[in-house]
Amino acid sequence: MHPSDAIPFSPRRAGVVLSCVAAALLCLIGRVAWLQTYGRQQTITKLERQTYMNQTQFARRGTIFDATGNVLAGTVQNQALFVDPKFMFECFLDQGLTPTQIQERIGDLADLIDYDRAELMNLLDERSESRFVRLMDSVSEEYIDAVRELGIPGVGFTPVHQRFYPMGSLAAHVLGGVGTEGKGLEGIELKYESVLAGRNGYKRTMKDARRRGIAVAAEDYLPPQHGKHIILTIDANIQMIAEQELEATCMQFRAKAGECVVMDPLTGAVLAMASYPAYHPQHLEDSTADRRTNRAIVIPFEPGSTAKPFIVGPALKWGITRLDEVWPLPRGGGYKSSLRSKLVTDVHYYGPLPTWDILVKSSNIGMAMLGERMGKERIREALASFGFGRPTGVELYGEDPGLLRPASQWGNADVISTVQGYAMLVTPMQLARAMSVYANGGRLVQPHLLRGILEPDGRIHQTAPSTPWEQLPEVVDTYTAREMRRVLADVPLRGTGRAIKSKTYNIFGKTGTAHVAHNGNYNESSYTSSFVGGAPFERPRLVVAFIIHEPDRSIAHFGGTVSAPGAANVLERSLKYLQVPPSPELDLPPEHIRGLLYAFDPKVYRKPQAQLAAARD
Amino acid sequence: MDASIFRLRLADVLACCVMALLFLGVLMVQSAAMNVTGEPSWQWTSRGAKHLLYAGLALIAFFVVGQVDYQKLNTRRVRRAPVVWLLAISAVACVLVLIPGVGIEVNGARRWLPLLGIQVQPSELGKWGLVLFLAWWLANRPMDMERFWLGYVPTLVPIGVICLLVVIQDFGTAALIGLCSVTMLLAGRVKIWHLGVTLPPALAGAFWFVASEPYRWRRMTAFLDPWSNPKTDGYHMIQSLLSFSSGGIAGRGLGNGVQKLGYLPEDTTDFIFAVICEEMGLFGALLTIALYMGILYVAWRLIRQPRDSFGRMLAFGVASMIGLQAAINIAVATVSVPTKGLALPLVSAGGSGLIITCCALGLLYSVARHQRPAEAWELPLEPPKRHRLSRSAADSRQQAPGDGSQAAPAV
Repeated sequence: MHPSDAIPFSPRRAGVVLSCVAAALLCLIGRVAWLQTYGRQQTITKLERQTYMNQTQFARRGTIFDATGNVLAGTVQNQALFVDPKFMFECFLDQGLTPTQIQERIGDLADLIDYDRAELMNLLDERSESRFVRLMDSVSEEYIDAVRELGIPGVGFTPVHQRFYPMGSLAAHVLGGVGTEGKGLEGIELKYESVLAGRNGYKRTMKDARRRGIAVAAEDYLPPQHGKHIILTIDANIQMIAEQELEATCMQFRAKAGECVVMDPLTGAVLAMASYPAYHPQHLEDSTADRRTNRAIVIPFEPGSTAKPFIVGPALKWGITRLDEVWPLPRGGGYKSSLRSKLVTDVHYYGPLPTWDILVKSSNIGMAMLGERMGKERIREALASFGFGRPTGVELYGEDPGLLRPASQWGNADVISTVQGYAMLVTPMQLARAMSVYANGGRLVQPHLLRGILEPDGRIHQTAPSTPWEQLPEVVDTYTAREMRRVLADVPLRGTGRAIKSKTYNIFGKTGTAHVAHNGNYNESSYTSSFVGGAPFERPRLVVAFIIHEPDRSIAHFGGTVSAPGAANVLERSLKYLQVPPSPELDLPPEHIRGLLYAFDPKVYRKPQAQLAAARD
Repeated sequence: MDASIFRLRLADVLACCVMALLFLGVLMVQSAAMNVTGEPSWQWTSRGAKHLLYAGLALIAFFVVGQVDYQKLNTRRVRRAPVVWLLAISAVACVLVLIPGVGIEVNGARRWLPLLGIQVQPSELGKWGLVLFLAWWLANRPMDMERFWLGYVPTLVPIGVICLLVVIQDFGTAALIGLCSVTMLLAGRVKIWHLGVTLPPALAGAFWFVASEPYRWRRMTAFLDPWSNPKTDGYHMIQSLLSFSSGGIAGRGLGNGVQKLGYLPEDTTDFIFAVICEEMGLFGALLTIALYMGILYVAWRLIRQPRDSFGRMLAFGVASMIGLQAAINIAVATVSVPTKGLALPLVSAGGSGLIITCCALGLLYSVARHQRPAEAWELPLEPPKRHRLSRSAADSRQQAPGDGSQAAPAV
C-alpha cells in the first residue's frame, strides 16, 4: 500500500477527475471551432433569413416618347391590394369570431373589390398558410379608404409599378406591351427591355426578433437604377392619322388586314407604322397573337404593280430604255411572251405606249417586254438595289426579309412574273424604303424607329443611324430619281390612281393590285391592293406605303380605288399637320413625250384657283 | 512560497482568473442586454448595471472569504461543525422554497427565496453546502468509510436528500450536484465497489424521472435534432447554433451581436457563452475556457501539495463543481448535451448565485493562501513504517522555512 493511500484523500483520483473535466472543456473548444466553421455551412442560410429583411428596390421602367415628346408608354405607381391570410385568420381566431362571422367579413371585402364571395373565401382558405396573396393590381384612392374602413386584419396595400399607355391602342404594334411581371413581351418594349427595365436595387435590413429594422450596412444597399427613356421617331399625330385612315379603308372595303408605313424619305425615320387589326397594349391578354403581329415588317406579300417603278428606274439609269420609247403594245387579246406559255394580259388595252405611260397605266405587257429586254440578272439586281429580299434593319424583332430569289434559280417565266411584282415577297416597310429612294434623290436610307435614348440624368444618346448622305448607297442618280418621281406624279392624275381627289399636294406613287396566292394557286377573288407613294412632288417630305389585304371584291379591289385614296388622305393630312405649304401646279410632261402619251389632256394638271391662292399664301 | 514577483503564486492565479471571469461577465451581460432601440449613446442597461453591482459584491465576497482561514470550518465535532449547519440551513431553504407562499415563481418554476431584500436560489445554497459538507465528512471521516452500511451509505443520505429536494425545482442542478458528489466520493477514497453498487440505481432513478414525463423526455432528446421542432423544443438550441455561425471564427465584434436582439433566449444567463462566441468568435471561447482551466489548474496544484485533507478535498470539490458546471453550460450552448438551466459560473447574470459561487471560490482562495501540512490525526493510525518515514521526509523537504509558523495544529 502506497503511503498516500492511507490518507482520506486520493490526489490521483482527484487528478484524473480534474483532467477529465479539463479534457471535456478542450473538446468543447473543438466543438465551438467546428460550429464556427464547417457547422456554419448548414445554418448560415437560416441565419440570413432570420436576421435580414431583403427588400427589392424596384426600378421604374423607362417612358417611351414619340418624336414630339408625347408619352406613348409610361409607368405609374399604383397600390396593389394584398392579404396575409395566415395573419388574418389568426386575428379572427383571437377575436373569437365564428366561421359564419369570418365568412361575413371576407364577404364584405369581396363585395368591395368586385370578387365573388365564395371564390375569395376559397382562395384564402386554400392559401391560409400563405403570407401574401395579391388580390388586385391597382386600387384607386377611394377603394383604399373604403378597404381601410372595413378594418379587416391582414389586408394591406403595397406600391407597384404599372405600365400605362395613355394613347390607348395608338402605335400598339410598335410599342408591343408588357406582361404582368412588367417585362416587355412585344415590340419596342421587348426589343429594348434591358434599356427600359433599368436594374432593381436591393436593401438588406438587419432586423431584431420583433421584425423591427435596425440598420442597413452600406454594402447592403443598392439604389435602383431607373430605366432609360426611349424617344421614337414615331409622330403620334401622323401615327394617329395613319391608323384612322387604315381602319376607315379596311372597314370601308371589309378588308381582312392592312398596313400603313409613313417614313421620312431623307432620314429613314419611321413616322408611323400601323397594322390593322390593332389591339390595346394595356390589355395584351385580350388580344390574339395574330392581332399583335406587327404586319408592317413581319408579313411579306406579293406586291404586284407597286414593284414596277423599282425595275423601270434602274432600266432608265442603265440606258436599257428611255421614257419616250414607245412599246408596241397590242390593242387587245394579250401578249404571248417567248418566256412564258401563259398570255400576259392587261386590264385595259391602249395600244402602243411610251415607257412613261407603261408605268402610269401600269401595263403588264409593257413591263413584260421590258423584262424580256433586261434579262433576269438585271431585273434581280434592280430590285435588290432597292433593298428587297433582305431585312431593312428596323429596330424590332421578327422582321421578315421578304423573298427575292437569286437569278440563277429563276425560270424564264419568273422574269415575266417578277416584272409584274409576283414571284417575290416584300414587306410594307421595304416598299416605303424603296419609294424613299425616288423621293430623296436616289439614296437607300436606313429605316429606324429609335430617335434617341434619354438617360435618367437628362443626357440623350443619339441612336439614329448617322451615316453621312454621301456614304448611303446610291441606287439611282438624282436625275433618274426626279424623272421617276415626275412619271409617278402622273399616276393620280392620268393613271391608275385617279381615285385620289387631293389637289393640295402633288402626290406621286404607284398603285398595285395583286392576286393572293393560296396554296400555290392565285385566287381570282382575293387581292392585295396597295399604294406606295410620296408627296409633295417638288420636295418630298413623306413617303407612305398603304397596303390593304383582301378587300371585299364586291365593293372594289384595285389598288387605285382601295388603297390610293387612303394613302393620299394620310399624306395630305400629315403634310397639313406638318404645315407643308400646298404644292403649285405640276409641270406638264416634257414636250417630246406629251405627244406620245395616251389621251394627253393638260387640263388634269390644273388646280382650282382657290387652292392656288392658298399655295401662294 | 517563492517571493519572486515574477512568479505568480497559485492564489494570485486564482484571483486573476476569478476577476477576469467576472469582468468578462460584466462586459458580456451589458453587451447582451443592450439593444438598438433605446438611447443612441452608450449607457449602462438596467441588467448590466445590476450585474455590475453583483459582480462587485461577489468580488468583495471572494476576497473577504479568502481572508478567512478555511480551517475554521473544519471542526471534528459534528454538532459544532459549521458545514453541517450550513447543509441543514440549505436543506430547510430547499424545503421552504417549495411552499407556494414563500417561494417566488419565475418563468413557471419556483426556484427563488426572498432573503434580506434579494432573491436567493436555495439550490445554489444546497449545492455549495453539500460540497462543503462532503469535503468535511470525507476528510474527517466521522464514520468508517471502509464499511458499506455504517460508513458509505450514511454518506449518501445528505447527497440524496439535497438531490431529491433540488430535483423538484431544477433537474439540471440536481444532476450537477449528483455528478459533483460522485467526483468527491471518488476523490474521498470511497471503495470503488461501493460506488459501483449505488450508481446504477441512482442513474436508473434519474432515467425514470426523465422518462416518466413525456415532455421531459422530449426536451431531453430534442438536442439530437433541434430542427425537427424549430418553434418549440428546438428553438433555444437552434438560436444558440445560429449564434455560433453568426459570429464565425472572427466574431462580429464586441457589441455587434445580432442574436441577442430578441432571437436568443436567456442571452444574459444560460446562453451567454453563445453571445461571447458570436461577438468575440473563437477567441472568446478560448479565453473563457482558458480562465476555467486556470481555476482547475490551481486546484490541481493544490491537491497535489502534501497538506491537510480537508483543504485538498475543499479545493477539489469547489474546482470540480465550477469546472463541471462550466463544461455542462458550454456543452448546452453548443448543443452537445440536452438543454439544462445552468448558469455559466461567474459570467452569467444572476445576483445571489454569483455571490454564493464567489464565496465558494473564496474558500479555494483561502486554501491557496493558507497552506498547511497534513494533520497528525489525518494520517492513518498504523501505516507501514517505511512509508511513514519517506512521507515525513517528503514533508520536511517540501516545507519552506517561512511556512513553519502556519503549521500550527488547528485542533
